[in-house]
Amino acid sequence: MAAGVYYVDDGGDGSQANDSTGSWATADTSVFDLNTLVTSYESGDVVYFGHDSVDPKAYGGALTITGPTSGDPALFISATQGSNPVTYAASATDQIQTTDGSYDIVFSGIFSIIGLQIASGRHINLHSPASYWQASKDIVFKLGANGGLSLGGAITTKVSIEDCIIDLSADGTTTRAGAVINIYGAVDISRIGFTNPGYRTGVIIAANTAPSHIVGNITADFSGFTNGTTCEIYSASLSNGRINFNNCKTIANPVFFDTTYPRAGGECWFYNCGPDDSRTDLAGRTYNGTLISSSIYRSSGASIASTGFSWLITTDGNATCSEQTPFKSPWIYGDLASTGSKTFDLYITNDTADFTDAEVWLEVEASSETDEQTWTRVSDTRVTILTTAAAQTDDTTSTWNGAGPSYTYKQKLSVTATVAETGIYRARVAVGVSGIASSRYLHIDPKVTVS
Amino acid sequence: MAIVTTEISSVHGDADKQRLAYYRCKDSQGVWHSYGPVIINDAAFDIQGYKTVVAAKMEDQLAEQEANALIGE
Repeated sequence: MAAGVYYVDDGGDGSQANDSTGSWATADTSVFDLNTLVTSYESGDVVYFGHDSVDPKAYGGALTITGPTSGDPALFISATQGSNPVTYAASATDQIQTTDGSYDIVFSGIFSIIGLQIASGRHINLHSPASYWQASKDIVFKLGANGGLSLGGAITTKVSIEDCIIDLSADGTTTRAGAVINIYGAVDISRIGFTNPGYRTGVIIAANTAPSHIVGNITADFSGFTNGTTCEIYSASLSNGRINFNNCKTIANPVFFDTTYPRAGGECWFYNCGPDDSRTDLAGRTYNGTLISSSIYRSSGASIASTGFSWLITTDGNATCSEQTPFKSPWIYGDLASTGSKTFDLYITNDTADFTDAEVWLEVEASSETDEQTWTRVSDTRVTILTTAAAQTDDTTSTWNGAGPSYTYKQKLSVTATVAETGIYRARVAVGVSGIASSRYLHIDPKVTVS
Repeated sequence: MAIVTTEISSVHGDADKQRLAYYRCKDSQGVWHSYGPVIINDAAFDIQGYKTVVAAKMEDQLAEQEANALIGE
C-alpha cells in the first residue's frame, strides 16, 4: 500500500480520507482528529502541519501518537500553510499540544519530526522501537511545569534530535528539580538550546532506568541554567554505556557531574566544555574514578594554546578501584620519528605519599615488529601481582605550579620499549588505588617525553 | 538523610585562572560524601558561601539515591 499523505491545519474542514489525497482544505484540525483516521502511521507516511496552525483540542489526557515499528520513519513536517507544492517552514505555534492538563505527549514508533512546535502539559517522550532510530530536527519542545523530554525507550534504540529548543517557560518562576532530559538508549543530541532554564535546580540530563546501556553524543548550550542552586549537567548513576559531551557552553562556574558514578563499564566524558573563553579541555568519570583538566601544571609540561595544564584524578567516589580494576586515563597519542630502544617518561605529583608500582603506573603501546600491526604493551607496574611493590622513581627536577597542592611527592613514571616501526604510539596512566580524595592532589602531567 | 557538616576538601589553582573546588559532607550517620568539582572561572566566586548550596544538594541527591535503592534501580 502506498504511503499516505496527510494534512493537519486549523483551517481545514477535516474531510480528508485515508487514501493519500489530503490537502490543506481537507486537513484535520488536530493530530488527535487525524489519529481517528490513521490509528497507526505506516512507514513512509507524511503528515504536513500548517506552519501557523494551533492545535485547538482539549485532550483531557495523554496523547500517544503511534508509528511504524520497522522500515522508514513516518514524517511529521511543518510546512507553509496553503503551499502547493508544499514548502518547508518551521513553526512558532503549538501544532500539537496537551496543555489543558498535566498530560504527556508520546511518540511511539519510528518518526522523524521536522520543524514542529510541540507543547506538552507535562513530559514529551520520543520512544523508538527496538533496533530502530528516531531522528528529528528543528523542533521546539515546550515542556510542562517540571516536565522532561524522554529520549529512547529500549536498549537497542537510537533517538537523535538536532537544532532543537527545549522551552521551559511553563516552569514560570518557581524552582523545579526535575531532570530536563532523561535518556534511555542511544542518543545523539546536537546543538540544543533552552528557554527559561533558570528555575531548574536538579541535574539537566539523567541516564535513566533500565535499559541503561546509554551511549551517545551531546552538544548543547547549558549557559542559561543560572539558578544559584547549580544544576549538575549529568547524572550517570543508571548508565553502563558511554556518553560524550562535546563543545557545550555552560554557566560561569559549572558542575559537570552529580554525586553518582556510572555502573561498571559506564563512563561519561566532557570535551571542551565551559563558559566563553574558559573551557575545560577534558573531564571524565568512570566506574572507578574521575579525571579533570586542572590549571595546575608542570613547567615544560603539557599545554594548550601555551597554557599549561594537568589532569587531576580522584578515586574516592566508588570503592572498586584497585590494582586489578584501576582507573585508566584516556590514551595519549604521540608520533615516533625513529626506531630502537625508547624510554617514555611521564610525571606525577601528590601530597600524601609516594606511589608504588602496584598503585600507579604508565602503560605504553608501540609497534614491536616490522609488520606494523604487531604492537606490544609495556608498563612500569610490578612484574607480577606477588612481586614486592616498589616506589616509583622520585622526580627531583620538575617544578609544578599553581595554588593548592604542596607538591610534596613528585615522581616519574618511566617505561622502556623496543620500537620496530616509526609512527604512532600511545600511553596512559593507570591508578589502582581507591579512596584518592581531591585533597591528595594527585596531578598528572599528560605530556609524554620520549628519549 | 540530613547533612550535619560541610567542608571544603580542596581548591586547585590560582585565583586568576580556572580553579577546581571540592567539597565533602558528613551525613547524620557519620558517612562522608564528596561533591564536585565545581569548576570556578569567576574569580569572585564565593567558595565558602557555596557550602550551603552543596549541603542542600547533597541532601537531595542522597534522598534520591535512597528512593532509587528502595525501588531497586
